[in-house]
Amino acid sequence: MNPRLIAKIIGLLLLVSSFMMLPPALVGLIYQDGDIWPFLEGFVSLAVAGGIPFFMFHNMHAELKIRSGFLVVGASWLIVGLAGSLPLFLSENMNLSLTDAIFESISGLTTTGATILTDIDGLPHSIKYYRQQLQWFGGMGIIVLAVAVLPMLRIGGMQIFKAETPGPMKDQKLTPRITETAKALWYIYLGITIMCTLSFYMAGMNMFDAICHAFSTISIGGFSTYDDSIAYFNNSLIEMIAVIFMIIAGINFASHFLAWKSASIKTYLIDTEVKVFIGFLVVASAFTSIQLYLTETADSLYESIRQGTFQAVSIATTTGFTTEPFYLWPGSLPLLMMLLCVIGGCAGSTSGGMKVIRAILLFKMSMRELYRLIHPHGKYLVKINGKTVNYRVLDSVSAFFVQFVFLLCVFTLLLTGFGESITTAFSASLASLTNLGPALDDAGAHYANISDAGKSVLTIAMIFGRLELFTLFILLIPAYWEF
Amino acid sequence: MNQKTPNPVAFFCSFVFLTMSIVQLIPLIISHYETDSSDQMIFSLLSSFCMLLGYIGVKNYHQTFTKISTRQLYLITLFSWLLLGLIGSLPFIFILPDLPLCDALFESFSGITTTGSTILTGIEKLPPSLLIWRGLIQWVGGIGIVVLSIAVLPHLRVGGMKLFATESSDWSNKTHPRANKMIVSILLIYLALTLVCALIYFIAGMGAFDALVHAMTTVSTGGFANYDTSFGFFANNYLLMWTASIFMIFGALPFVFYVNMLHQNTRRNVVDSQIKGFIIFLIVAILTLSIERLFRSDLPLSEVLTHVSFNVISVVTTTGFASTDYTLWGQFAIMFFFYLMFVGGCSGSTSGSVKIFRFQIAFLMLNNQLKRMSHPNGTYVLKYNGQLVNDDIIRSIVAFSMMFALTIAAIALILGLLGLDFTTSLSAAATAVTNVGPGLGEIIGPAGNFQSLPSAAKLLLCAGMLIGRLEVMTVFVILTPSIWSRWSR
Repeated sequence: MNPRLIAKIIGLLLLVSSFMMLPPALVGLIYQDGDIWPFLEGFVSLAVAGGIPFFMFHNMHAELKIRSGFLVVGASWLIVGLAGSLPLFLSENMNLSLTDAIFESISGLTTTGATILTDIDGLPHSIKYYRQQLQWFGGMGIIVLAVAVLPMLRIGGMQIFKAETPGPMKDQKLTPRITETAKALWYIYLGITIMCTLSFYMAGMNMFDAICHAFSTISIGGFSTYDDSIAYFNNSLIEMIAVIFMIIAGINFASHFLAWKSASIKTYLIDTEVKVFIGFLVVASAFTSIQLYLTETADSLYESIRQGTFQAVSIATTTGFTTEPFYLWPGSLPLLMMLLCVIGGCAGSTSGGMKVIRAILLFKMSMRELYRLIHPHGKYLVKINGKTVNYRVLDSVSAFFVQFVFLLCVFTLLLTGFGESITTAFSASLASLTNLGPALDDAGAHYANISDAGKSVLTIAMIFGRLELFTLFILLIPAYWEF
Repeated sequence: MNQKTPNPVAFFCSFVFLTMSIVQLIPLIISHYETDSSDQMIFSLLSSFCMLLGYIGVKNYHQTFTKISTRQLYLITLFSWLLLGLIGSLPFIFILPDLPLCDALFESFSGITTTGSTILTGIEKLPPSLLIWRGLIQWVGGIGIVVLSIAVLPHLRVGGMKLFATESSDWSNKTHPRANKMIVSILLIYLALTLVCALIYFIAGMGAFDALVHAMTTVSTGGFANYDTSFGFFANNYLLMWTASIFMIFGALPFVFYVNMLHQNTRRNVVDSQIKGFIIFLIVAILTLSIERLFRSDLPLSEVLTHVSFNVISVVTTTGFASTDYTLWGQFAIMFFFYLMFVGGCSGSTSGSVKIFRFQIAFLMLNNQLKRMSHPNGTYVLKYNGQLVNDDIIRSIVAFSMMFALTIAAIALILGLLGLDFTTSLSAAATAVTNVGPGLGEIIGPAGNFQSLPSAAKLLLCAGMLIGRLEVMTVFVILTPSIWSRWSR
C-alpha cells in the first residue's frame, strides 16, 4: 500500500468534488435566495483541502495495487460524503447538526434518498438543487464503481461482467479501459437524464423541478424538492414517466450502451437479468395493486393500479419516491415493500439492493442443490444467458448473502439498542443497506425522529450497501492488513 | 398394490402406528386415576385402533429391504412425520370435542415438531391424560428428530448434513449391526436424561406429574408446559429454572457425543467444534443481554442472570419455555430474541432451526473469501474442526439458508394477507419454521397464544413447523417434478 499515492487520488477526488459546489451557487444567484456563501465557502475549503495533497504528490505515478483499491474506494466515498455535507452544515437557513448534515449528504451521495429534513418546501432553491445534484453525482460514481472498479476487485460475483457482454454481440466489447468505459456510460447517463428532464417538463413540471427530479430519478435516489415527494404533483402522467425512467435506470448501463450502439432493443430481450427484472416488477406491481384494491385502501381499481404500480416500482428499484404513505398500508403490504427492496435492480445500474443477478444466481444455486439431492452424482451447472457461471462467482454471491444477513442483524440490534422500535430498526436498516430510503414506522416519512446514534449507524449502513458490502467488510478482517 | 414389491414406505408408516399405540398406553394408565372415565375409553380405543392398523401394515409389508432408494427415504421421512402429527391430534379431537379441527392439528404438529406453540388456554384444567399426551408427543418428536438427523439426513446430504455422516447413516449397504447399536444407545441415553431431569425437578420442588411432563418437554427441547404461564409458574424457584436451563442445553447437544463419551470413542472431532461454538455463543448472548438488562433496570444480579439465561437458552435451543414475558424487556431484547430464534442448537440434537454449525461454516467461508480477495495468490482451504470441508457442503449450506429464509418470508407474506400485523406475521412464520414456539408481539408473544389466529394461518404454520423440522430441503425435494421421474426410483 502506498499512502502517498492514495493521498494523491483522494486529493484529486476532493478537488473534483469542490466543483460540485458551483452549480448550486449559481442557482442561488439566479433565485437570489441568500444561500450562496455556504457553497462558495465549501468550494474554497474543498479545493484547498484537495489541492494540497494532490499537488504535493502529483508526480507519484505508481500503479495502484488491486488490494489498495478497497481502501481507496471506501475512503473516497466516505470523504466525498463528508465533503458534501459541508454546505448543508454551513447553511444558516438549515441550521443542521453535523450528524444530520452528514446523514443527508451521504444519503444523497449513495442515492439512498432517506432524509432528515421535515420542511423541504421552505428551503432555498440552491439547497434543494444541491441535494438532487448530490444524488446525480452519486449515481455517476456508482456507474464507474459498478462497471469498472468492482469487477476488477472481484466483488460479490461482479466479475461475471468483467469483459463479458451478453449474447451474440461479443465483438462489440465495452471499451476495456476504465476511463473510456466510464466516459461512454456517462454520456448515456447524461442523455437519459436530459430525456427524463424534458419528459417531466412536458408533463407539467417547471424546469427547476423537472431537472431536480430527473436527477433523483435516473440516479435511483429518491430525493424530492417537496415534502410530499411525487405526490405533490398529483399528476398520473408524471408518475408514469417516473415509473418508466426508474425502470430504465434500474437496467444495466452496459446494456443501454450496447442497445444504443446497435440501435436495437434486442440487447434487452436476450438478457436474462433484464427479463427477470421486468417480470419481477410486473408481478410485484400486480400483487400490490390487487392487495390495495382488496383491502379497499385505494378508492377505485384505477387508483389501486396507479398507486400500486408506482410504489412497487419505486421501491423495487430502490428509488424511494412516494405517492402514498406505503408505511401506513394495511396487512402484509409494508412487509412486502420491505422485501421488494432486498432484490433491487440490475447490476451495473444506479439501483441498490442485492441486485437481480445475485438473486437469480442464488435461486438457481438453491434449485441445483435440490436436484443434487435427488441425483447426487448428476452434473448440474448454473447458467446465465446460456453460459455456465464459474463456481468462484457462485461462492462470491454466497459470501455476499452471508454478509447481507450478518450486517442486517448487527444494524438492527444497534438501532434497537439506541431505542428504536423493532419495526423501525428492521425497516430502516434494510432501507439503508439496500439504499432504498423511506422505511416503516418512525422512519416512514422522514428520519428526523431517529436518535443521533441511530442516524450515524444508518449512515454507515448506506455506505456499506452502496459499496456492495465487500469493499468495507474486507477492511475489517485482519488478513487484509497483513503483507 | 402389488404384494411382491417391497414397500418400505408403507412398512415404516405401519411402524409409526405401532409405536404410537404403545405410547398411548401411558396416558391410558394416567387416565385410570381420573374421575372422568371417558378419557380412559378414548385412549384405549385409540391405542387398539393404532395397534390394529400397525399390525396389519407390518404383517403385510414386512420384508427384508436390501436397499431403500433415495426417493423412498424422502417419502418415509415426510409421511412418517405427517402421520405422527395426525395420530397426535386424535386425542385432542376426541377429548376436547369443542376444539376446532385445525386447532387440534396445530397443537399436535406443534408438539410432534417440538415447537411448543399452543392454542390452548386454561391448560391447568385439562385432564392429566391429555397433559401427559402433550408431553409425550414432544418426547417422541424429539427422539424422532435425533434418529432422523443421525441416521437419515446425512445420507440424504440435506443442507450440509453430509458433514455428520457416520456408519449409521450409510443406507446403501444393508443392515449394519453398529448402526442399530448406535440408535439403541441414543434411545437409552435420551430416556436416562429424561428420567434424571424429572428426578431433579421432583427433588427441586415440582409435583411428580409436573416433573415428568416437564422433563419430557425439556429434554426434547419442545416447550409445552402444564401451565398457561409456561415455566413462569415456577419462576420463583431458581433451582428449577437452572435445572431446566441445563437440561435444555443437554437436549441441544449432539447425542452422538454422549454415545462417544460413554464408549470412549476417538472419533468425536466434528462434534467438539460444534459444542464449543454453541457454548461460547450461549455465553456471549447471555452476557450481552444481561449487561443490557442491568443497565436498563435496577433488578438484582441474580434475578437478571437467572431469567436472561433461562429465556436465552430456551430460545436458542428452540425449546420455547418462557419464565416471564421477555418482550417487555424493551425493543433491543425483542430484536435480540428474534435473531436468537434462528441460531438453534447442534446438529444431531432435538433442537431445530438453522443450527450452529451452518453459521460457523458460513463465517469461515466468508472469511476465506475475504482473505482470497486480499491476497489473490494465496490458497485457502476451509477446515472445520480439523476436517477439510468440501465446496459442495458449503454450497448446500448456502442453499439451505436461502430456502429457509424464503420459506419464512413466504409464510410471513401469506400471514399478512390473512390480516396479521407486521410483527405477528413475521415472528409467527419465524417461530414456526425454527421450531421455537412463542412469537413476538401482543398476540403470539410469550404471554399470549396462537388461538386467535385465523384457521388458515394455523394450518399454514403447521406446514411451516413440519418444513422447518425436516430441514426444509427434505420437504421441497418431494415437490420437485424431478423426484417423480423414473430415474430417481
